[in-house]
Amino acid sequence: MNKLIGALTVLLYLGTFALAETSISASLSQSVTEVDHPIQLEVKVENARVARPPTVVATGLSINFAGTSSRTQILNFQASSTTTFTYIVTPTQEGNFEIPAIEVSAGGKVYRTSSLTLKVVHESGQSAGQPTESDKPYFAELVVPKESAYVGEQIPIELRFYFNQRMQYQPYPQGQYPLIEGEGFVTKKYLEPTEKQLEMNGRIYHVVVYKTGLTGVKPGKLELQSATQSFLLSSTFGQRNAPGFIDPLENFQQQVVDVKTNGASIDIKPLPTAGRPASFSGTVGDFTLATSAQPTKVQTGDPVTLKVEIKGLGNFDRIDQPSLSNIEGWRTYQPSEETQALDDLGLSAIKTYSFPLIAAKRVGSLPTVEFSYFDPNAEKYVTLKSSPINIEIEGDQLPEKAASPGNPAASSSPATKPAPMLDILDIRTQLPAPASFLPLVEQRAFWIGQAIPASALLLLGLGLCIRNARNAGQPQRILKQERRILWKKIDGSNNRPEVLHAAVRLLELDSRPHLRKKVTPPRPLNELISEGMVPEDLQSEVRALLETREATVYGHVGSESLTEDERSKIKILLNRWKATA
Amino acid sequence: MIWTRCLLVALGYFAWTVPLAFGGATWEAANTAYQHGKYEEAKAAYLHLADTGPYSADLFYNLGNVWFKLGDPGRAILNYQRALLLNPGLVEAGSNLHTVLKIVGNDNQPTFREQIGAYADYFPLMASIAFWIFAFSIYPAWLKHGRLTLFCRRLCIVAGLIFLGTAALFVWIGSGAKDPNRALVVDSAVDLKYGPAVSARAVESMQLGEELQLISERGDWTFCRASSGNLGWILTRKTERLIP
Repeated sequence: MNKLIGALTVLLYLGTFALAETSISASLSQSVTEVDHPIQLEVKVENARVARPPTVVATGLSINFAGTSSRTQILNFQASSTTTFTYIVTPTQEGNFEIPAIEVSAGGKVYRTSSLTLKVVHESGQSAGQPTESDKPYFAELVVPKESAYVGEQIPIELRFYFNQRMQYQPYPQGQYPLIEGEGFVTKKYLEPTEKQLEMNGRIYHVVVYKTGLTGVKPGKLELQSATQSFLLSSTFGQRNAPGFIDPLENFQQQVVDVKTNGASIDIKPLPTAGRPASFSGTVGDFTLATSAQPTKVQTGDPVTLKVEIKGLGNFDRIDQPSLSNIEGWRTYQPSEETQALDDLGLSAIKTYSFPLIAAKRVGSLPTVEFSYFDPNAEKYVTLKSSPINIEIEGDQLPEKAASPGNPAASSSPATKPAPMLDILDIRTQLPAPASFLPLVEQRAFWIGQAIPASALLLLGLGLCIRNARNAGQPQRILKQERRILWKKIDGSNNRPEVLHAAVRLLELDSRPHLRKKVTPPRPLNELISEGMVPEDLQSEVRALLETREATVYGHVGSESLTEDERSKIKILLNRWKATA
Repeated sequence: MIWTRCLLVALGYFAWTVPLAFGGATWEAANTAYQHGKYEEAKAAYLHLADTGPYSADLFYNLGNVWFKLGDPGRAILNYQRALLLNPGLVEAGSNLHTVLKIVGNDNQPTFREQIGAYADYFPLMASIAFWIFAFSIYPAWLKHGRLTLFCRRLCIVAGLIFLGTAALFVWIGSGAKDPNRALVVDSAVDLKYGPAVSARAVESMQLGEELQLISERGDWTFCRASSGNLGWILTRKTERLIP
């Protein structure tokens, strides 16, 4: 029974293992090192059995094989294995070195890694990137492995923050990443910082290393002024008594400091225009192209998936879907895409496009794929073309009208009427009327349009006010005019009845109180006297005037002409009356 | 009389300058090129008109047709949307947009807010008209000893209600379809990602012609809100703003 279970496990393992895809990658523990300071090179082979370690040779570097480790895991019935070959790389001289692509043979196929770049600086620390401030309790450096690059080329950079071993430190605030000052570049997302310890000039430092990728976006000198990161530092006062001895009463002081790195400059070169392929979309790096198809034996109308893998080191953000050629007899549809990062920064990755295809007739091979990029190491454009994949197709040719890709079986049925080809309406030819993308409320015409009724409303209100004011003053004006005429008669006329009549009328007009506020019709003097509204000292004179007038006007008694003495008496009475009113 | 003459002169000037400003010759040449199947030539001429001359719904409609004929449904959708922005009543643009969306398999239905957002310009116009009717009718309607008419009072109430309703809609819709941060996905095979990196995990796959609300940009990437409400990063060159 145990043997049976063991055999099944092995079979399951082998079955799942066979499905997993083989991949290979290489990485260096550091991208910058010093002369005679060894670093580690790891070559990882996934899902393949490789018996011998691959040979790695590079000029200027001493590379020695150090050991092999392997790991196998089964997750969700998917088995995967990783074999890691470790090498010790010791630089023997200063400069930039390239470790060429490493080849590994597995399962009858040859796999290649991307090439790696290592910068070696002099031990004395005088080269760019080597800290010169090692006497300070803390300092930082910006390590840029290249002095020149092309627009769009990814440059891995490191920001190293050194702290004396007696200091405690932590990024402040937590989770904050360094800020690189400068312009004309973009950076990738920072990785979580790593920490290590190293000795420098006889002192031990803790180093916090931030890694990211930098890309120049325009040609010219790219000046990286500095990179700054805030740290909360804790340090002790004075010296400890003995190394390793921790005094619980020791005084700590804390402070937040901005730690700045040195600057760097990179010459960003423009991509050459000569020899630029039509299919180039701005991809810069070093890539390989591989294609595969499933299934390889189909009926016409059946879907086939053409998988295109672009693998390498470069700006995967800029990769556009590769173009298909030799599509005669095939119906092609938009592919899906997937990116799998091969390193922490995502500089090295595999981008996979899956093209859904339908064979409309019998053809011998699948469409071929073309992909162009610029190789900054070779300084030229490269166009990769896939070799045609043979396929076996059976069945009759499909009708011209396209079937829905989601329902390919419908097209293979002869009884099904093909769907009508969708098309668009024709263009408009009459001269178009101008229009604006500005919202209406932001258009000047709208506010001019509002000003017209607003002005009209304002004018209307103004007119109403003027009219009301004029209407309010009209009776007063009439009375004033009448009063003036009456006074003129009293002053100039010799006709006695006329003057007496005018005098009585004036008395009546002036008898009204609050003349300005409220217009009331004048009341007869008789009524005023009977109501006691005439002052007592004037009552006799007013009565005499009334009687004289009535006798003169209605009784025709007395002279027809007025004497001056009489006129002056009337005037005095009128003035006194007015003063009293 | 003098005002009539001035108006006639102004109308004559307008009638003469508008076709000149639009570039009548280029327009004709572009239309001819399209009708003869020279789509690249027509595209160049229409783009020249869009770059230099005043915008028009017909221009973007024709440009949408050219992009469709050249096999770029993403930009065809974009230009039909632009034509509908300038003239929501352009039925040909609506029909072609529907067709292209059907071809690319985008079956996203616009929300009620998006539907009335196309008419966003009508709300301030209606609100202003209602406001002025209200303002002009309130005096005669509320005058104590004036000519109080039932008609004026009713007109005042109706205009006031319309003003409040349309003003509220305007506040809700804002710039509507003419929001300068609206953009469309114009390239296929694009994901909304959690971070501005190709290696970042995808939030969702975006369809051709899907609408986005752009929030900020960083390098080649734009932080945006998808029509589903999800926030994420998308490659800037895979999108294009609706307002050019």
